[in-house]
Amino acid sequence: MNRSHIATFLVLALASVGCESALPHQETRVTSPWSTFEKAKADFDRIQLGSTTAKDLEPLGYDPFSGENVAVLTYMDIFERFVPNASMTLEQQDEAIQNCVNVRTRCIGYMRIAMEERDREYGNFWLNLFEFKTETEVAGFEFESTLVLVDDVVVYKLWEGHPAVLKRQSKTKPLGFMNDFDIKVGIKFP
Amino acid sequence: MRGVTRWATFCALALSLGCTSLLPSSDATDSPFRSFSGAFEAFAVVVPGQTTVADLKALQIDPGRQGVTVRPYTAISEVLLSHEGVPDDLHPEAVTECFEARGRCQVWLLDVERLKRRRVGNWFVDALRFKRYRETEGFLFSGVLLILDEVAVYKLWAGIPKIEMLAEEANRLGPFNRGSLPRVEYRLRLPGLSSHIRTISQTADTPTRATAKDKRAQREAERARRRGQKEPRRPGI
Repeated sequence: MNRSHIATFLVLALASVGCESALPHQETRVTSPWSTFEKAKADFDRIQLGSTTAKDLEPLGYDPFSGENVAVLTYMDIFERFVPNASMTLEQQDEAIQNCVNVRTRCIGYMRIAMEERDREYGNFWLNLFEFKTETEVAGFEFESTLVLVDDVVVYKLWEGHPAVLKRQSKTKPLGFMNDFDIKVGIKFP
Repeated sequence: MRGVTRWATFCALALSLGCTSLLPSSDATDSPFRSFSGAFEAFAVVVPGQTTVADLKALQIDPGRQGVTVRPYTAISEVLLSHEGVPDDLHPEAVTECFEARGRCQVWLLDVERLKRRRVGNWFVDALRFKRYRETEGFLFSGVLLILDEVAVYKLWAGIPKIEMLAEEANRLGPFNRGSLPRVEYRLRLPGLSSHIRTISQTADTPTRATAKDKRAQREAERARRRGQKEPRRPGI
């Protein structure tokens, strides 16, 4: 077996396997104590309205001074969050929110975001390399929770998020990288 | 031959040590407060109705320093009543009194932001794009003080004491990979005191600070808003 045979064999092997593992991947994480959406939700569910105190929140990952990425909100922020426009009124909201706004600076909010996003390219390595077909996948989760505290006791809680983010994108260029060639003719008039 | 050996030794050393210090990093702060606790503790000392401007300056909350902006009484409507649904009586009486005092009232905005972005790991692996780790750490503190006759009469703060984000990018083919992955940007929503949305880009090696052009555009937008809003909104009934 000479060198050309080996080279052909390698190219054929790579072409058939696709070398998916050689494609790039990326991971972004907003640091939080939770590695999954379920864990974040489980800790959130342990918070009891009217009895969980600011101190109790620490082991649950909601202490802004010891945990990462916990935002401290004012009564004004809470108002804006629950009454986002003039078509809504404070009276339409839960009593706990109304009370929070009425006691003003005795009320604060905690907002925590946990996010993990993993991007990867998959598919045939050669088609990807020469840009004939690029397939991208984004997976992960996002959990955003808001707690309202009056005199250091949680009186209201709310969560939103995406338990399982999965976005797939496929781009096809019939001419591959040659599709990007741009021929420009510039004519200058005096 | 000796030269080659030296180079090989240097490369081996560099590879083993990783040369993290050669990787880019940035650190941005625009305030005398180097930590969240510094700003928080200074703000916590302020007692509405008692703390004077001189006391504030002693606490480093000084308009002569970066991060502290002084605005006229009309800014109350922009900062505390910017949202159209906010009722006029949302805020305590001190806010109304300050607004009614007009020229005797000032709005001090304390805006402290520190974001450190750095790439960590092995320099060779990073330079050849086999693997890149990025870290973003920092804090945000946003405070409002109303000053009436040289005395602080109202205070309010919001912020994120500890920001931490991580990103990892891996390319098995290193420099031969096209690296066409989309740049991930995480928008950290800090409603803050005037509903500013802060964007913290995890992938940027340099902080996304407002450029002179951005600031000019901001000022123009503010002027346009003021022109549209002929009379500042008055808090209180």
